[in-house]
Amino acid sequence: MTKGMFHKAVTEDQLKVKLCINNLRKEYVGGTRDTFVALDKLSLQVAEGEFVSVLGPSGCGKSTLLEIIAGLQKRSSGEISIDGLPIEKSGTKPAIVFQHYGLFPWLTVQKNIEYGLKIRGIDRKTRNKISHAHIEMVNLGGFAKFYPHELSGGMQQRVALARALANNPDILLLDEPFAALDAQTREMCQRELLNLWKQTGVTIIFVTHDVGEAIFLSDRVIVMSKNPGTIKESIPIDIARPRDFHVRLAEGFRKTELHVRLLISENGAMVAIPGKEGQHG
Amino acid sequence: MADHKLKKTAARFLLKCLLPLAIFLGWEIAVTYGDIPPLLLPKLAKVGADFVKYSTNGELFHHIFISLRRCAIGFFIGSTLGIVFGILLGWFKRLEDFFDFTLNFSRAIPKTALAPLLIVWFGFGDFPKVMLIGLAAFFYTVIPTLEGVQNVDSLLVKSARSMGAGDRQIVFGVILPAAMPSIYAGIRIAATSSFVILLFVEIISGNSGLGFLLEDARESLNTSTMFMTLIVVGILGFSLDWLVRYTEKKVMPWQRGKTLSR
Ligand SMILES: Nc1ncnc2c1ncn2[C@@H]1O[C@H](COP(=O)(O)OP(=O)(O)OP(=O)(O)O)[C@@H](O)[C@H]1O
Ligand SMILES: [Mg+2]
Repeated sequence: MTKGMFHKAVTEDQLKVKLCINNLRKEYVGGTRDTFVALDKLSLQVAEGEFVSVLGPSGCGKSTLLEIIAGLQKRSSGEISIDGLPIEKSGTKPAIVFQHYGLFPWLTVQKNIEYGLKIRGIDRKTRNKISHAHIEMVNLGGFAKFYPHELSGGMQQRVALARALANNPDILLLDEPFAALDAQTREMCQRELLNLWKQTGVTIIFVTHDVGEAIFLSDRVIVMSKNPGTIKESIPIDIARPRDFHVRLAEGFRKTELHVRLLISENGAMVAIPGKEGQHG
Repeated sequence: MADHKLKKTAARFLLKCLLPLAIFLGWEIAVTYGDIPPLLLPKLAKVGADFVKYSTNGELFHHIFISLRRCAIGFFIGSTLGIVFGILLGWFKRLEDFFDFTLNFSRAIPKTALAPLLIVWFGFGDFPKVMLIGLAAFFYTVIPTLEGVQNVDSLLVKSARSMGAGDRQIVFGVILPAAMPSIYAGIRIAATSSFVILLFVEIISGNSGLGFLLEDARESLNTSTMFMTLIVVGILGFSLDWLVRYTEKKVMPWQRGKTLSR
């Protein structure tokens, strides 16, 4: 198994590291548990334009990791850099879609999506144009003037996604963004996300509990383990793009899926898997 | 369809008027046929006559104006300071610790108990009255604001921060609206108690205002004027409450149509 390698960048023979995490450690201090090590010895490199999924058991620190990358939580030790600059000094701001949305209840769908643009002082007309495009993109036409509490969970999730994308980020951090969607909407959103990724070349870190989804979308799947949270394995996904839904039925896909599933379950590492793991036909 | 709705509204209005009308009717019957001295319960007509008299000579509006001015100034200064202070305390943990004992101790003293001291210090003018109302409004808003700020969902703050918001933008654009329901709960109590305290201080130390009018009527055994003033006070209090609830809806349009009950 090759760890921390960028198969995509390697094939393109032009490796540019977008995000570099080195020996990250995060302790939560002063909570119910006196000191709790949420992340330890976590190192990860993500290439520019790479689509990386992060999987792992509940509580292994996926959300914590994303929030640290987004600069929303302090790390206890370790280094994180974006484009070679420590995140404190880097001008690049990753956009994040939270697991629990974090929409502003006092703002309408449109105003929520325009929030980041307003902060950056973008004029009203441009804001309107961008927000309308994004409302259409996540299929919420007609809901611009609604307040979040008037929407379903899945709709709120799509607003959160549109809000992050409206800021046209370099790095997009997604924390289970499709968890509350029905199967059809989820597939549609996955396709939209891939389109968007292709168009903009944004670097994506995608947290999910859905193994199939992770493999289907990603260049690389990262499996984390718990207590303390760290990276257990990094699995390149060599399925040609564009991918359609048939690839899910392929032998290699299913093998990888099983492998990842076993890795995630507690004793996964101890289960021997016949044949070469992580290979796709 | 609209006609049906109109009828329903009219029926509800009539129902709401039923009890007040019955009370006035009972009153009128009691003073006409019962053997009640006018000193205890005047005739309704006399109360009405007093209203006309005090209205036409301008005295009533003079006192209303003075009372409302005291109440408004005290309330606005007090609650504004309360909200500002509450936000600061909620934002800076150190500041909260610093003021913790002082705030909670002074809060525990009923504001009316301070009236005698303020009269000794500042006399019978407007200042001690406005100050007492201000103090009450301050304490009634500072605590709910502080608690509201501390209970703001940190996810909302993170959301804003992830989109590049600075501290100032977070305080005004996130903390303030997120804590608004709690702040408004404080404002509502502050408004009602401002009015209560206003009447209290005017009664004990007034030479003008509605409270003074009441106390003056008592001294001259003029019960009908007292009743007139009480009705005016009731109407003002009612309007005040309505005003607060009206602005609440205006300030927090997103709360519209949100219910907890089924
Ligand atoms: N503010 C906090 N204080 C103390 N411990 C925390 C805090 N936030 C998270 N933790 C702990 O850190 C660990 C990782 O939490 P995190 O939310 O990152 O997990 P996760 O991998 O995203 O889980 P899930 O898949 O359920 O969303 C958990 O054990 C959690 O209890
Ligand atoms: Mg999580």
